[in-house]
Amino acid sequence: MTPAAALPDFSSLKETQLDAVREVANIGAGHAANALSQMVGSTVMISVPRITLARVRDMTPMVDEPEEPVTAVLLQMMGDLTGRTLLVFPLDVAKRLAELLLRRPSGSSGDFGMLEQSAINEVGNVLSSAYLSALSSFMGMLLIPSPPTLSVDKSTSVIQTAHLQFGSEDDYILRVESEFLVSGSIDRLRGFFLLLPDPASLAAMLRAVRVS
Amino acid sequence: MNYTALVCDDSVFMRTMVADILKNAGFEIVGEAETGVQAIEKYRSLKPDLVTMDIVMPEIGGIDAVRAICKEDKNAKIVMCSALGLQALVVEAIQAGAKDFVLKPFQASRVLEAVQQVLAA
Repeated sequence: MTPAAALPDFSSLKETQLDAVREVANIGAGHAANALSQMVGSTVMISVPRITLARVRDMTPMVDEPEEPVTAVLLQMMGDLTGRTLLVFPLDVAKRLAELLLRRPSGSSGDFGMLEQSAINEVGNVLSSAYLSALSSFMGMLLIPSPPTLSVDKSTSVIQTAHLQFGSEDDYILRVESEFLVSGSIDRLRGFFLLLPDPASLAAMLRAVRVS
Repeated sequence: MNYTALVCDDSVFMRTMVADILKNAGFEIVGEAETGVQAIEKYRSLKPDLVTMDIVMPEIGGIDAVRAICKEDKNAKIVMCSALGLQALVVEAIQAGAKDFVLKPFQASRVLEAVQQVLAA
């Protein structure tokens, strides 16, 4: 089965279907934000999920500067739905988050070392698990994340790598993006959670929420 | 009495967190494992009073490691610490021999409550 043959006609998705996907993502993002809030000890706000349908080569990065270094925690989604989740932080945000998680003062960390990377990797693990658990309960499906993998790279490279696994640059993919903001800190700590369902899984999601 | 503990998680950050919680409560951390295989081997050699175990780990997962440990020592006291809170997995872990389940992210108090109940049983 080639990726091109497996893709549904995303351009024909109705607004009701997009709304359903947005609601499903909102539920997951809410649980993920709650989990992050518990980990860092601060309130976490989330945005209304944004859905992007585009060819891989046209996918835009979430951060303002395409060359900005980011950390990205990728997990494969397994079970009744397949695809992947991606948790993206600008690198300076990831360093500050690691400080919060490790209970260190702001600016006290030097390099983004092994322990700091492990902390962010675990954030990805916990948030994805919370997100998928919420979706699992809501849709009555079994969803299990893989172990997380962390990369540090330019924003455009991260997006390209995550999306290219679906197919070629000309293939359409669906990206469901939730932005969250850690409040109560001096710094603006902004991150993004992406749900990237495989095409067949998108159809299964819509069936599960009874949207034809 | 100072209890000994083996901390099993593929994340060095989580092992550090759990170990700190237990150390602050008077436990002696006698070992750490980052895979299910290491967990089984270290349990065999260290015979800790308590084990904390993640579910998703390389080589052998945490539930399979619990099963293997409990097959050799039915009195093993194992507390699962995992981000996966699916009911089916919780049930499977308990059936494999785990005595309690703590969902990440967790508060130190919840971890200590679980380990103390397990050790008292």
